[in-house]
Amino acid sequence: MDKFEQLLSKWLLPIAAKLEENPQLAAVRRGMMTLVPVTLVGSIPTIFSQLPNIPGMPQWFVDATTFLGQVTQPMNFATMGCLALYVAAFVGYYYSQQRKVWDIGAIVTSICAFIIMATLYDPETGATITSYYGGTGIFTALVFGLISVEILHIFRNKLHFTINLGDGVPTPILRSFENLWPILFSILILIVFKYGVESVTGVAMVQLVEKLFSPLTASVNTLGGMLLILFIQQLLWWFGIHGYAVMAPIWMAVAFANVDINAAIVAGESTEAVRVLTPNFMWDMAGTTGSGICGALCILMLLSKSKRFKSIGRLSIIPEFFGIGESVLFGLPVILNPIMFIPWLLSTPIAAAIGWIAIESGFMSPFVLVGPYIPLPFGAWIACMDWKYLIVWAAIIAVSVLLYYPFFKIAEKRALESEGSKTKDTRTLEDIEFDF
Amino acid sequence: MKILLVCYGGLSTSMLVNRMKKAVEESPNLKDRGIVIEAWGKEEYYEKLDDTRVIMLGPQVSMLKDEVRRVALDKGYDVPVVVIDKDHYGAMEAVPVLLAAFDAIKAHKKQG
Repeated sequence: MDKFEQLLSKWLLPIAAKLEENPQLAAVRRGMMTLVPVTLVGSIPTIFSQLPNIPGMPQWFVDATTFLGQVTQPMNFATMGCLALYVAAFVGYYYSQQRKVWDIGAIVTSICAFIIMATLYDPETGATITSYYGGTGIFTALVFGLISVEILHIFRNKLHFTINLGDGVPTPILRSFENLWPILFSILILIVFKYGVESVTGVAMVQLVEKLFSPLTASVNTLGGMLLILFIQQLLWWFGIHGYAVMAPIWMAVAFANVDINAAIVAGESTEAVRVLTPNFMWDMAGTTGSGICGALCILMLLSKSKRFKSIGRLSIIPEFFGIGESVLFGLPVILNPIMFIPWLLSTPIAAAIGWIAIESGFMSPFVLVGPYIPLPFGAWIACMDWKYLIVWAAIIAVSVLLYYPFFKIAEKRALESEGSKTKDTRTLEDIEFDF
Repeated sequence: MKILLVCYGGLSTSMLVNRMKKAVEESPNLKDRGIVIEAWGKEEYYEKLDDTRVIMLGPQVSMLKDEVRRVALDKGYDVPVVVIDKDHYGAMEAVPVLLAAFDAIKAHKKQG
């Protein structure tokens, strides 16, 4: 085991570290995570539009929910219909923190760059077409959000193209003058770039980006691609690295775009195949109760004979309902524990496979919105509006308990042995003498 | 006096740091001694060495031990570099990690 551990840490960990520290990926990760309030607002009209379909409801209920659906409909375009616009703003903001440029200036630049790239024009009337402002434009938002702020950063911090009004000028005015030229140059460079590329290829930039990312989108949307991502995620966790944070940028943009596609399918506007991979699929099926289905371990700990395990189980149970498994992860521990290596690696991929089969076979509905962050399993239940999710969820937990059980028993036996023999360091912090 | 933890800049070590800070705060012996505990990624720690008395590495970066010791020496910090025990790190046990930190400082001082 030690040899194997050393081998892995030699090649895997440096790559993971690079991914985790990479400023662009960090901005993408944070920007995507910030979408939750936006999607929450956007889920309201989707819920109302689904309620009239519940069988056996009285006519007044159907009328009332249909009416509410119509009233709240504009909320949908303002959020889900412009999802990529928010992504551009958030990524621009978080990247400005990494590059230490003015946040407002960065947001202005990234939103402007995105709209330039993602707006199409009707060739006859010249009217603007905003169909790429939604989920399908997310990759364009990520790419040009980052590039535009990077150019801003180069002009502002590297080339110092700034106007300094000196002291005695109010800070907001000072700031905007400092960033005036960098913002303008960033946008001008991008618009020339857009014109050049589109003249040569004859394809709109936003569609070009969509094509460029289609291999990634296609592979993440397969069971194999997703299992590979989750497998690496688990491996990283085992080493004490936040595997979710490292791997999330790879699938998140695709997952958010997929919600849009599923919603269109349910609304009857699209005949595409249902997409399994969505944020709630990753949070509440593949990673429910925390990466590695920590909730299963938490249940085993609650039932354990070991006093230490039992108390960790009690401490962890509430966070588990919010999908946070760290106290189990570090309490058992799973981290760097050879006994837990195999079940830990398999747990999340197995859960994902169960969820994949359940959705792909049509047993349960796909996720059509991004569920609110409320104690599980209710957020995901709202996100798919199908009670059968609860069955699949229970199955995932049950299978995970069975998977962990034999390995957990070994860990428990060791814990009981060490609880019996107290050869631990018995000093406390009060015994430290400060003679240095 | 600073205890500097170094890892991959991940989120896990910051949990340990929070527990160590809490343990220091709750100990009458330690709380008023100006003990600072920080965690930094392996790309940043060398800028944060001021007042450092001991550097502790997360077990996942144990192979950096010699490099970190050399970098710290170059910056004028002749401080011990220790790897946090795998089990203590795994279970996020603050007290044994703190004990190990002070043991290392004492042992280093004895060596001269």
